[in-house]
Amino acid sequence: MSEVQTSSGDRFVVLKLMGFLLVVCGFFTGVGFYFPQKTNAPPAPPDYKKMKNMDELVRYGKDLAFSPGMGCTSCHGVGDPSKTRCPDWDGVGQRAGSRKPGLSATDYLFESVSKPSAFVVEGFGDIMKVPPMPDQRDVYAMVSYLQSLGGKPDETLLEKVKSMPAPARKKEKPIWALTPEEHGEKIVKEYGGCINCHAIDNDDPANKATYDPNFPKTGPSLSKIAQRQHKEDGKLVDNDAKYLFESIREPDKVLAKGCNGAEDGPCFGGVMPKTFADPAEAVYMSETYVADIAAYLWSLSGKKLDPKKAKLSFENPDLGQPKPKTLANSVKVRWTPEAVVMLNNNVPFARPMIQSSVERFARRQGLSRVTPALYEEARAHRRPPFASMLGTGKTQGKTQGGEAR
Amino acid sequence: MSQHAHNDSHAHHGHSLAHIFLDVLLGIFKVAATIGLAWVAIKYINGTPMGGSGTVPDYRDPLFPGSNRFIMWMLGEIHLMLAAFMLGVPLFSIIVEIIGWRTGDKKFDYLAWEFTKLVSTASLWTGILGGGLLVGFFTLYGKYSGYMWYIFGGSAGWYVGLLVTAIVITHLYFLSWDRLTGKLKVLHVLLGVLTNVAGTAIIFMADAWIGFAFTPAGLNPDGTLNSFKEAFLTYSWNPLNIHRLIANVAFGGGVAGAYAAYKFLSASNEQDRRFYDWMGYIGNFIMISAMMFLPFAGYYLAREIYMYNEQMGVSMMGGVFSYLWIMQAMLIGALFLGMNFYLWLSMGKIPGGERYKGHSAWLLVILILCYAVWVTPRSLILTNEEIRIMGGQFHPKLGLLGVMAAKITAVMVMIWVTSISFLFYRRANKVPIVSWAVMGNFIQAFILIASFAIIIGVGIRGYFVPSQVRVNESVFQAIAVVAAFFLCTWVDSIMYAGAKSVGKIRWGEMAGRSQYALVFLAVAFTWLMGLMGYIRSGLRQFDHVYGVLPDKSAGAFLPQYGTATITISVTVLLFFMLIGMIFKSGEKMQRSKEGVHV
Repeated sequence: MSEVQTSSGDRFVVLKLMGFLLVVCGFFTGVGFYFPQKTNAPPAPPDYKKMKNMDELVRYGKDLAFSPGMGCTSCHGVGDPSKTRCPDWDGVGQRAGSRKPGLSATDYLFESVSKPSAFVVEGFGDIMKVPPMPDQRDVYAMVSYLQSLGGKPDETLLEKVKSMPAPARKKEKPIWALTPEEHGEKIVKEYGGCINCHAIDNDDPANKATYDPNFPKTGPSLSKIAQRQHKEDGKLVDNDAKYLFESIREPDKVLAKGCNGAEDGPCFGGVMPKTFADPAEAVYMSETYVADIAAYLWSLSGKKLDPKKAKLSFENPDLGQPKPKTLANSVKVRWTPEAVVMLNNNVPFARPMIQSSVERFARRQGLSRVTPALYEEARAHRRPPFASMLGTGKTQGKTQGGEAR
Repeated sequence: MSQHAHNDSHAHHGHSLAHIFLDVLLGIFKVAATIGLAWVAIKYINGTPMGGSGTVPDYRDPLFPGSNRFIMWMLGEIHLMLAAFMLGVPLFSIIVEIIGWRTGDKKFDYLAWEFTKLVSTASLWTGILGGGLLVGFFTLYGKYSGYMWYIFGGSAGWYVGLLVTAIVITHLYFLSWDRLTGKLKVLHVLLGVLTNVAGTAIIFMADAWIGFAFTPAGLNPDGTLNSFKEAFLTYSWNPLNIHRLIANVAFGGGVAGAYAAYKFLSASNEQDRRFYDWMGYIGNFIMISAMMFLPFAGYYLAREIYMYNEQMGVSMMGGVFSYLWIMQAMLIGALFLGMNFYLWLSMGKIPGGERYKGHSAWLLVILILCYAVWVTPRSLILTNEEIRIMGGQFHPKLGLLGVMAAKITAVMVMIWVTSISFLFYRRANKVPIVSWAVMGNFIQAFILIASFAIIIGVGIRGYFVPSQVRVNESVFQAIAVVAAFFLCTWVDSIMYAGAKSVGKIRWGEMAGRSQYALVFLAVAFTWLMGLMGYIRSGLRQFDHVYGVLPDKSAGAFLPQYGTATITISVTVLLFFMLIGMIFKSGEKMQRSKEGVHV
């Protein structure tokens, strides 16, 4: 048989194949250019210099006022009788000019937003202890919105915000680089809303700004929680991590003393949410959140708490967390008419299978009635056939959004 | 059969134990050196160890706007393609080796060795690109890499361990081929199985990171980690695993087929032509087998995306990426046409194949019709005047073909046609001797027509039921196609047991254009992988981690379609240049073809 030849034919084959490759890739690239060419860029923060009219400024101010991150609507409402902690905004545009002698409506509202303690409306407490907004232009945007409520926005504000420079951004430590104590502090002071009702009245000057001794907070102080005691079975015992965890999970289970500024002032139930440990509730806080809050509060007394070592867990049997009771098979599961319609949308021979799987899901939740919402949830929770081998493919704790900055 | 001359001392009588040991050590050293060099580079550029502490800049200035993201895009894509090849090929080469072992047919053993040789030579560049990717992430995207390290850094050691394990086992598997023979062959097969286990574990781990980036879970509202288990086992983890495993097999088959095409076209002796013609057929067969299941895996992935976040699903299919799905349809249709074209051309070398030649006409017509349905968009690119004339955004008749009911039906029919082509190929040179052969043919025709009726019937019904019902019922279309194929193959195997042969397949007597079809399949599939990778990554839109970590870099934009297709084309060209270099360097390794008869 002939020997192997490194023939010159090799080079031509390679060239031909490379040419073929170029033609094929070129064709696909050409198809890509046939479609409409459009670049999609992320939504940019508002460019004040490009705002055309007051409506844009007012609209942005409203977005700011109602954004969850700002937290204004935790206490303020617009014609909302349930919001009693702070003055209602309805008609504020009309009365702002006469609130504080010597101040125009614009100046009064500007002062109210940027320095709330400068003037407190009669009948309300000085509870708005929030850091100043870094961008003054945002304050004016909110002012223009507030003026629109019952009044007319100040037209000069548009030119004012256009002429103001953007503030320099301060570089903050990223959220994932924080220690448990730092993260807990962030939750307590920023997005947990705890300092609205609880004081952190230790000697740290940064914390002093969060409360006013003349206007005591509703709840007990958090500063020395690690040093205090609580009653357990009639006896006074030292607060520990387990107690702290339980207090957050079920706040009304043990009512401490120290409310409304008095050292031994009694505290009453029904003020805090019933529990922070239920994922279905809007106020849900995960175990890691609670653990980091605990680590921070413990650090206020100079103590170190390692949440992992303390094995703090909502599911810890010591904490008495009840699991939902599975419904007995003898109890019939009933379907609402709307849920039946959803079941009947499936092909007839699949319905018995789907029905039994939905009812099994309902029993596991301790529920005896299948509603459309439960039906959807049951269908979403069904596992693929090989899930036990390869992983669930679905998880219990979907992220709830929010931004890691 | 003549001895194939070789110019290297490798492998003729098997490597010595010392040689194997040194090569394995060298493999471990390469992994360690790559990771070590990457770590040093990151530390030098960032001034802080991997993971940082928030002092590393979020982003570095690009050479030109968006350049950093294009660098990472291409690096990541080529690394993925090489890794997909490395992890996909062993999945079918072990099966080929087992066939050779059990049947005693040496050509299968030689083929498995050829496949594994390709993998072995690709490992170095896969590692280098992986190291480059690591350096790129940690130096150019400090914010993203810092966050991902925070979530997954604890498992990095496991990944490195898996890499080292995989390299060791793969080297042992390849180098011990001629030593572990006879009674020791079972050990060699075991090594092959372990190679696959390690490779699969690597895919699953990497899929966890990727799944987290676009369907995150296990997080608190501020992005801090609540549960590592949930962050690992996200909505898209399972679907990604399945889709990638199947796609890797198809991709590996395609690239191996392209390699065989190149070797066939450049072969200088008949034995090589025959062998590489046969290797090309096997590569195509593997690709077809895996491609048949790929649409279902892709559908599962898309479904999980919709379940996770409907808005993401709608953006994917009907929003900013919608026209790219037309490109995907075009590519998949081209792949099916190419696979069938290769099979029909192959019939030319099979004595008796001319009996089935006429069927290729109606099969081609069906394929073209399905292709047309598959690429028909729902929304057309129109001016306002054209919309006014047409009476709306959608064509009154053709717009109906732009919905999923029509498209799923079309792709199922394409799979149906491909399975028929394969059945004809399988029986091309055989004449059955059983008395019930005519009845057998009627039975198979009945099965095929019934499955066709189910596919079309469910497809038409899809226009009249709610989308959730249509989605669920499309499973029956898939079952109809797959069941028809397996049932017909089973009937065929019984019907043609002991069949008379019209003549032996004339391997090596293939038209040159058939080899270009094989190359086209590999290129189109690779291009498709690049396109789908872009869509999957782009689903995050302007976030590094969807809904959690916003992308504030200069490259945070979705490029125009043309820019994206240029990037994908350049990536594909670079990949094939690299793989060509790798295969060329692998040609030094030769093995005796004694006893290899095709």
